[in-house]
Amino acid sequence: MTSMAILIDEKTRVLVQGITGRTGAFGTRAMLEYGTKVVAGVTPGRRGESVWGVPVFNSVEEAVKEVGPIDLSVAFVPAPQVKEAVIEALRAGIKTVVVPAERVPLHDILAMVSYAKSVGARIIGPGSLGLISPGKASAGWIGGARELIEESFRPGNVGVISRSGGGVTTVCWILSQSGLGISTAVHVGTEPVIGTTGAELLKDFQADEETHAVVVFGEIGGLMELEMAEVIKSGDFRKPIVFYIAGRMLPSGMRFSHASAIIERRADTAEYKEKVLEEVGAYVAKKPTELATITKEILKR
Amino acid sequence: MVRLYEYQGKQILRVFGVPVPKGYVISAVDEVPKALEKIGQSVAIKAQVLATGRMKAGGIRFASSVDEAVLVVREMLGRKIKGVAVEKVLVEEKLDIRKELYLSITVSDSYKVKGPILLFSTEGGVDIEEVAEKHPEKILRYPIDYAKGIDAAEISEHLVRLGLADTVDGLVDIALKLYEASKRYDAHTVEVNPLVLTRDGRLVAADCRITIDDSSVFRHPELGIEVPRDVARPLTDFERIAWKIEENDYRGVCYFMQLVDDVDEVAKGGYIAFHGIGGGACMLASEALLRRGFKLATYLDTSGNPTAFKVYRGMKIALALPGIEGYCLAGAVIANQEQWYHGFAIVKAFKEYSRYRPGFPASILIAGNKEAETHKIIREGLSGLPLRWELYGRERVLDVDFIADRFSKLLDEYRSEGPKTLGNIVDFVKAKRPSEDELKRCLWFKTSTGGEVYVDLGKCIAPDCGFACVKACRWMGTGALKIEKGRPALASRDPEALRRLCTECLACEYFCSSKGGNAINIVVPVYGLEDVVKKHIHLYG
Repeated sequence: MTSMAILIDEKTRVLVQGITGRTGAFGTRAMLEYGTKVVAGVTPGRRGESVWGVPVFNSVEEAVKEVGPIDLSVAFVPAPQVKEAVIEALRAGIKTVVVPAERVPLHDILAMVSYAKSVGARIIGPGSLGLISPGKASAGWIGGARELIEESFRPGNVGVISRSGGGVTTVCWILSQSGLGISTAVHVGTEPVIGTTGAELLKDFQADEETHAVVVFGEIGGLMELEMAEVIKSGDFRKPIVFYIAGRMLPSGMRFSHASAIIERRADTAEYKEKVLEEVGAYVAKKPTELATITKEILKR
Repeated sequence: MVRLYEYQGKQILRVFGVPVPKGYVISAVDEVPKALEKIGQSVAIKAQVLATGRMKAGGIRFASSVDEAVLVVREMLGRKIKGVAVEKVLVEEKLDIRKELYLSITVSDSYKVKGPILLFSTEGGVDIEEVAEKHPEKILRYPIDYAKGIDAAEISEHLVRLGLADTVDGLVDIALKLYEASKRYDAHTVEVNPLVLTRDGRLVAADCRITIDDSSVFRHPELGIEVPRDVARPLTDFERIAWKIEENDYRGVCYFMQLVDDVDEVAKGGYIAFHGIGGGACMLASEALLRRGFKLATYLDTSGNPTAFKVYRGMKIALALPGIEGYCLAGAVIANQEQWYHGFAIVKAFKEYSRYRPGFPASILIAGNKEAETHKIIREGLSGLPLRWELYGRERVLDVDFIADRFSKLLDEYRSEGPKTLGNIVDFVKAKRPSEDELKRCLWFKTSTGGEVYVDLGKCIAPDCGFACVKACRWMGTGALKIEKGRPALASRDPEALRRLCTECLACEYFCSSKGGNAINIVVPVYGLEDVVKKHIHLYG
């Protein structure tokens, strides 16, 4: 079977949890404008309403019963309540759940990630802006308005993984402006533990025929880039890959915006990560703009 | 992660039944004799600071009489350890050590784990990372299945294999209790290093470091954590009030830190207020500015689709720092969310600030969703203000170096003409409400975070303005205003309904003013800011 793009495409049937809220409605409109198949929404007690033409149900179970199978849910639910919403979606059989909320209590994250694993499902986030397979579909509120999405996310063959929400759109914008295009771009999320990390996505991108190279917007702190280096070294990922690591020169022992971006160990500074990545044969851009020049150069070969 | 003091951690351990040394926290020398009466003459005296490496810094000392203990405590209290003054010391029984072990439960972000890990080492009292590197055979690394918890039989086997058959039951018991405590307190880490095996065969937690997850602090009022921020120093007054903006408002982020915590140092001059939009942008831009030698006093991040109120409040705190010589908003990414809320906040903040500090340099980079509209708002809103500002968009989004050069020039100009302040900082931070006479002509309501929206019908120029406020409210908000009998009106009589309908976007005030009106005044209080600037008033020129 040929796989084209990862996680989402034009056939993916999408649910929005918290669809009647300020961000839920905003995200729904953006997804619909982009052509995503948003088939249902959920807000407890609001059955019978509709948001931008999408029918609203009281529960995920009810939505699945009424509209049929759902592949992916975006849980636009505030942090203190998001665990229940995610587990509800997983229980109803949904296999991919995108979680935009930030400041989710850590042990709530652990509980939902553990539950997802037990049912063979995936969580993207928490703290994820979402993901997009350009020209096909988007989930979350990635890219925002239509005109910005078209300018920033041209369809193509570069997979993008980012730890920053602004970073994902910026990287795609740089690539698109330079004439390259994107197969799928994923913002993995900003929380201290996330459902799907870069190391796992590399395996998806390896399997995706549409993806010829991967570009990563990394950050200081955490293990993600180092574990991606392990995957590259092991041979499970064999396509060209280019990294940029943000946060150089910031003092250690302090958290900077993203809960995941705190330097705690010798091994999570930008300099150390770059060294390890170069050792396993990854390309490292010293400036974000170099992400495009290096990738172009590689794909020409 | 919020770090707890050793004594707080030990209180938690005690509650969960983990043995800790007999000890007392004291903050004055005259409490020493009483403490030793209860503990005995041979004691360890430990400075309660959050920094690690206390031993080397002289923060852990021993005494064997009351006189000696008094001397040590007197020396320790008030002195600085790694830059932080010691306010409390923990006086504890000195343990008779046979062996030092290590035990912790910590959450791992590894994709292979994504959960808690139990770490045990037969070598404690030293840096665990070093042991892990040099002697991996001394370490037990046991990922805990979150759904099932710790399997006591399984870790017993591992511990026996490490040569700990004699104490295995005690160790397993402590491990289970630490895990229980970590779940109960939403901990990121519960670490006991060293876990001491005494000569008489007891296991005692000689030290304890617990970090609580930032995002879970609201569930633990009993810990008395005022601000969940991960810093190894006490928080500044400005940081404390900044957290209040964020505390109960989940609409986007307003993350404020001082990169220079000493306000007196900032007031000496040479510093700028740094503001970014999103973690990625902040990291990209701050590293570019730091590389070029700029001195950043603040790290302010407003992102994730915050309300205009949130952005405005964060800016007010940053601008209220004494002696700031410039402001740099570096939205150095293509932002996904509609940026006009930032636009309204910037205009409102600088309308107020430029009156107080005319000629002030402000460099503004803002790119992404609704960039053109946002730029129009900022350009029109700032035009005519006594402010030295420049505005950039996506054409410069990754060219922070260019922006930095331009900003340097603005700063030089400002400095060379001699920065002036007019009026009083208190007037800048104070909320300005309508007078009693004006209030009689006003429609008004309270917003969800304590703001007040006043519509002065005496000054209203509708319909000449085309009902700019009502249109803006419908377009950018959710319609708290409506048109009634040819005048703007509130969309509901129910204060609760208005609180819900108003999304705190500031659009009505901006568009009323841009159409030549002056009828809308929105009061956005920044709680505590007035008191904080008054406390530091001697630092404002």
